[in-house]
Order: sequence, then structure tokens, then C-alpha cells
Amino acid sequence: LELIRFPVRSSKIAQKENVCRTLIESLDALYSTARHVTGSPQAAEDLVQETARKALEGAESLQHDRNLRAWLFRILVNTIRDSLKRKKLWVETEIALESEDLSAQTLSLTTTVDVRNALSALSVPARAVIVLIDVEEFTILEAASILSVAPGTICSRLARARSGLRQYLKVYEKRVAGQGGTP
Amino acid sequence: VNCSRTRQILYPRPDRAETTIESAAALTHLRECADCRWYFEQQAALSHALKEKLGLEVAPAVLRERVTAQIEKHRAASPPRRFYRKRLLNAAVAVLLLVAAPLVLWLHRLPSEQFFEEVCADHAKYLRAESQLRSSDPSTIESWFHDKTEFGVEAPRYENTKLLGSRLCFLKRHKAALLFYRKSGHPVSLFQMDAGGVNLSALSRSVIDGVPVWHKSLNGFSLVALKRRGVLWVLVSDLNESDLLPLALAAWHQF
Repeated sequence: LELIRFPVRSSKIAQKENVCRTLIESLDALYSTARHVTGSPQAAEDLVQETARKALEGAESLQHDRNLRAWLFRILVNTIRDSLKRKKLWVETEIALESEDLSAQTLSLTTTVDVRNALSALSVPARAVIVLIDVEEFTILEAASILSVAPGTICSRLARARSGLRQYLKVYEKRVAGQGGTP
Repeated sequence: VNCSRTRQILYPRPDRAETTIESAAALTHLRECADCRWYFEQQAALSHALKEKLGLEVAPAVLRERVTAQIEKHRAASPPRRFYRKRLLNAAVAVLLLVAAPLVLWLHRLPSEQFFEEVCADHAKYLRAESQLRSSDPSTIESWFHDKTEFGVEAPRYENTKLLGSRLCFLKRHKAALLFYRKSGHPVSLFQMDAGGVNLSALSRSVIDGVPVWHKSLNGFSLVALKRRGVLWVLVSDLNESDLLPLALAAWHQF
């Protein structure tokens, strides 16, 4: 019995170590995501700490071949969702798709503060999809797994979220055009 | 696939899109279409620009310390405790299995052992062939049991073995037909009863000439049992098992 259990136990210990290592490596990314999605540094701290607690608790029962980084982000997103749902702030809102896409050129004319303000004007799920795909560079499938929705939903949410960003950034575009330079 | 479909399939970028059955066709289109390549270059530039503008927020030192402390606490305290708890649990389960397995086996065999002890006791009790019906004619004996048992009693004929008679008896509430024989001066009892509910675990099982046979030496007697059409036949005698086995097999092949 012990002979059979030993490799399983050692593999679980190794898995737990992997979780600890990935948690330390991803700490900035987790905090950054929580900060962008919630807009609050204090909330982000609490959410990441809660995420770390849940991840350490679940480390032993985790499947060995799991994408640990995506798994940590999934815990974070669920923690954010639970926290914001209690405050009724996790609300899916429809953003109309604009015929013109948000472009890198538009962004180059805006400041970091403008983009962050525009992001905070979006709904929380829309912010989450932008941060996961564009900032954290997850694939569509990974983001779908993290947010527990279909890949197709991620694509349409991303397109709408970018469209939403464009609508908010139009103001800055116009201002820049009027001034003939950067705001 | 056309441009619109390609942009849908490979959205937001070919390297991050979901792989579908149309992905290969979309990638082929992309290689040949300058407009689509330009579209995805714009998408990549947009992603890059968003990442640059939003930037990475570095976790505050306080948070890093707290999480590191959580990790250290988990590394230091939990694994050994869980490890020993698991080891203790494994050991307890192993001990329980070692103790419980023979006990369960014994408890299962006990009623069977008691039943066959009673079979032997009944054989010993009627050693003088105290029959209710004295007859050496098998058909007379078989018809005598017609209205006495719910199962069909068969009285086999054996060479060099004399049928003496029969009686009805009860073995642990099992109604049984008891047939008396004598072989080479040794009394042989043949019990027949409904096989349902009789536990044979106290006997050893062998398959001889394709016939499953249960046998054992118990309290100085030899027992050989077999099942025929839902009826359990048990031969008991002070003869050896090897002398009883041919009688059991002969009965099996006779009917």
C-alpha cells in the first residue's frame, strides 16, 4: 500500500511546490489584473491574498498537467466575481459594436491615465477580458477557461470591450485633433 | 474562407485564437491576403499598445510579504502534519483490514461450519439406519417422499452399496430427506435438501470430471456434497473422501 502511495504523495508534494513557485512568479500579474479589474488597490490586495489562500488549499488536489498560471487566474477571477457579485458590481452590460475598430494609432495618442479611465468606464467582465487577453496575453481558450464561458463569447466580449474603449477614447482623439498634438 | 470569415476565425490574433476545423483554411487565406495580414498586424499592435498603456502594476511589498508568509507557513507546517496523518490513516486501514478480513471470513464460515456439524451429528445419530421407511427399492423410497418434501428426492443405485431405507429430518430448519446406505460394512448417509440458503463456505470446492464438488473431513466423518437441479446432496460417512467421491459422481451421472 505504501509503495503505491509513495509516488502519488511525492508527486503531490512536487505539485504543491509548483503551485508555490507559480504563485510567487505570478504575484505581480495577479495583483495587476485585480487592480485593473476592480480599480481599487486595497481590494486588489485583499483579493490576491484570498486567491493565494485558496490556491495553497487546493494545491494538493490539483491535477498534475494543469496550466498553473491559468488556474491561478481562474481562482482570482472567481474570487473577484464572488466579491463583486455580493456588491452587485459584476454586471454584464452590452456594448454596441462600432463599425470602426479601436486602433493602436488611437491609443498612441492617448495617455496611460486616459486608457485606464476608459477601461474603468467599462463593465467589470469587459475589463477582465481586455486585461486577460491584451495585458496577460492569454489565448482565447485560456481566457474562456478562466472566465468559465465559451471561446466564442470571449471573442465577442473582447470585440465589444475594445469597441467600448474606443467610444470613451473618442473624446481624447477629438481633443488631440483640435490641438494638433498629444493632449 | 473569405476575409470576413478569416478575421472571425483567427480573432484576435492567429497565435491566440481558438483552433477549429476551419483554422487551417483561414491560415492559408491569411498567407495569401495582404489585407488580412494588415488587419491582424493592427490587432497585434493594438494588444501591444493596450499592454503598454495599462502596464503591469507591481504588487506592494506588504502583499508580497503576506503571500510569502502564507506559502512558508503552508510549506513548513502542513505537509508533515498531513503526511503523518495520512500515514497513520493508512496504517489504521491496513491493521483494520488484517484484523477484519479473517474475522469476516470466520463469521461467514461459522454458520456453514455449524450446519455441516449438524449434518455429521445426524449421520451419527442414525448410524443404525433408524428408518421411517425400510426399503431397498429406490422407487418406493422416491414415492414415499412425494408428499413430504417440496423438492424431488432421487434414490441412486450404487454397485456394492446397499440401500437400507429413509427418513425425514430437519437440519437447522432445512427439511431434508435422509437415505441410508451401507458400503463395505460402513454406514453412508445421503442427505438431500433444497440448496437455497445453504452456505457451503465451510467446505472445499473442487471440480472433478467437470462436476463441481464440495468436500471436507469434519468431526471424524467425510463429507462430499454436490448440487443437482437446485437440490443439495450431501454424502456423509466414516469412509474416506476418496471412497465417497465415486458415489457422488455416480449419482450425478446416473440421473
